[in-house]
Amino acid sequence: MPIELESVSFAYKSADGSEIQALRDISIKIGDGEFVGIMGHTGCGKTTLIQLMAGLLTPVSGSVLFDGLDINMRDYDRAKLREAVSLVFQFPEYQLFESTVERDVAFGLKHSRQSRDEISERVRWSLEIMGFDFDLIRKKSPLSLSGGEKRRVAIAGALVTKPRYLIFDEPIAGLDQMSRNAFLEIIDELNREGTAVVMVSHNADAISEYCKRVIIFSDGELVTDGAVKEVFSDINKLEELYLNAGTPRTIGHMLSGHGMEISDKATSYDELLFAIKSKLQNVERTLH
Amino acid sequence: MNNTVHHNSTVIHGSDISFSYDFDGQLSSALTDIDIEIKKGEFVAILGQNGSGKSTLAKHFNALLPVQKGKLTVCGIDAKNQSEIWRLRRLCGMVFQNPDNQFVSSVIEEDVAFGLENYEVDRELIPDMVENALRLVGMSGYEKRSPHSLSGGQKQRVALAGVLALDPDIIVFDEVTAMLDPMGRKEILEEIHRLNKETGKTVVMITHYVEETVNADKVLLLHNGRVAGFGTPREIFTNTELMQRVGLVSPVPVRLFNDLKAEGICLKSCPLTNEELVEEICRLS
Ligand SMILES: Nc1ncnc2c1ncn2[C@@H]1O[C@H](COP(=O)(O)OP(=O)(O)OP(=O)(O)O)[C@@H](O)[C@H]1O
Ligand SMILES: Nc1ncnc2c1ncn2[C@@H]1O[C@H](COP(=O)(O)OP(=O)(O)O)[C@@H](O)[C@H]1O
Ligand SMILES: [Mg+2]
Ligand SMILES: [Mg+2]
Repeated sequence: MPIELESVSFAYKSADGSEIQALRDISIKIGDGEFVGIMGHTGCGKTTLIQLMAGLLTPVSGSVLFDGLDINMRDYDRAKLREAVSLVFQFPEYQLFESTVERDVAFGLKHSRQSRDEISERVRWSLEIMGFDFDLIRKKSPLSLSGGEKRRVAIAGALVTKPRYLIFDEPIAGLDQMSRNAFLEIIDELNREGTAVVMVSHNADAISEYCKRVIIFSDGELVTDGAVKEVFSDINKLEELYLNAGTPRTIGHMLSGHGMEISDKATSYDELLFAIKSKLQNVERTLH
Repeated sequence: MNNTVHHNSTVIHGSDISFSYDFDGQLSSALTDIDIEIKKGEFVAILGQNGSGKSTLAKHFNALLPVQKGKLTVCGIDAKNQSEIWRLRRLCGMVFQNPDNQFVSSVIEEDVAFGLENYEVDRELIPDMVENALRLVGMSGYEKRSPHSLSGGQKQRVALAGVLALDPDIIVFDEVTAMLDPMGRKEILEEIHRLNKETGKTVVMITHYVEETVNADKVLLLHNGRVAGFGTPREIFTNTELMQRVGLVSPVPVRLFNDLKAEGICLKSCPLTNEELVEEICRLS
């Protein structure tokens, strides 16, 4: 089990010396090839959690294991973790620091043994996959990009090393719809090829369509961990946690409330369309 | 005062605005021949792909970016008039995406007062103005708290209070809901609509969530730095050809309307909201 949190707790020290408990007694295992969504209200501890997973924060108690080894032990070889796990921050504008987009994306390959040409090809691949025209964007400064463009460059920088684990903190916030869909399709494809994906998002539509498992936090505690279909069918429970179940499921639920029974398993757009269509066609048939 | 605006008068009038960024000598065109007219009290949403020019245009409205070509008048002030820049900035406030980097103080009331102090408002009046602004966004009672102890939605409301304290005529929101959870989004969106209705402030709101714009008066579509469409949400979202051309997807109810129609199932009229959709479907069944 590659990423494993065992009874992890974490607290920040605030300026006045008091402690802010961000996570309490969290145990999670995320295996190779999984596609996991992480949800929860702002401040529930999502960013803290994935920074612990990537070794950027050290737990106050409990331990974080990668491939069975405690990553916070003195003798742990951090290079292994860096090679296998890529993290895209919530505000990737702080993650871009090279003078050109091309150099920025190539940064993760600095220590790789690949040839210049191979590196250049990988960089081109990552940027094109994120919807850029490579020749137009390569020489631009990351500072000269719009908000959404910066985010897409940061994502390209995480894809470039083909890590075993990709961790994203709110990756689709600020992306336009086409980039959002393209991004989700890409990580879905990478996931099918074996990359494990962990995605923090407030976008229930994205999580319910793409993730297989979803973990929900509330006030620093893990409250739900299960298959996406199961979790999203229980709309009342999600509402109790101040979350929604995504647009298709929400509409289905509203229709059911108005006497048109839509299955609680219809969580995607296509499933909802199909369910409505069948219901209305049945109506027509009984009328004729 | 020549900026007293009458009902239905134009508060933002831009014609033929073009703009290029000059980054280390590299010119890149961001806006081309923009014509725009926004009336007092209107709620205008701006939609468009990444890099289409939304933020660049919005930054013209309060002179964060200079007018390079064309003409822009905001609340009667010519945006090229350097001597009026501070008055213009006060009349047109802006709230941004990241709730965490908009704060300058670790105490909420000081943060809200910051803008006022910058504009040399009479010190004696500041506490009342701060109190009033916090009340307007439903954050009375939080004066002494730290912004960092708030939820995302609350942070954005405090940021909004900082802008409101200056009593602007126009408020520009640049993706203020992007980082919020569903509750926070709903909270700030309702707040913006309420302000628009109750205080008559003109609202310009940039977002990537089309469903957030269905209750706007107008939707402005930008594409490659040009205006691709400007009309009511209904006019824009039911224009499938236009939406496709600018690479945007209409709200789910509109998509369902179109996809059902393709299957031979016709709803009476095209719904924009989930509620309207449910109503239309129930009429058929
Ligand atoms: N400081 C800058 N220097 C140079 N070019 C810039 C700068 N800021 C933006 N640009 C470019 O200008 C164009 C318009 O950018 P703008 O920020 O207005 O887009 P936007 O519509 O707000 O996009 P997003 O949805 O990503 O926020 C883009 O091509 C962008 O790369
Ligand atoms: N650098 C920090 N210093 C102090 N407190 C923090 C810091 N970062 C986060 N916190 C607090 O820790 C808790 C969890 O935050 P975070 O992990 O960022 O939540 P989320 O990503 O789910 O919004 C919140 O109460 C937040 O205010
Ligand atoms: Mg976070
Ligand atoms: Mg922008």
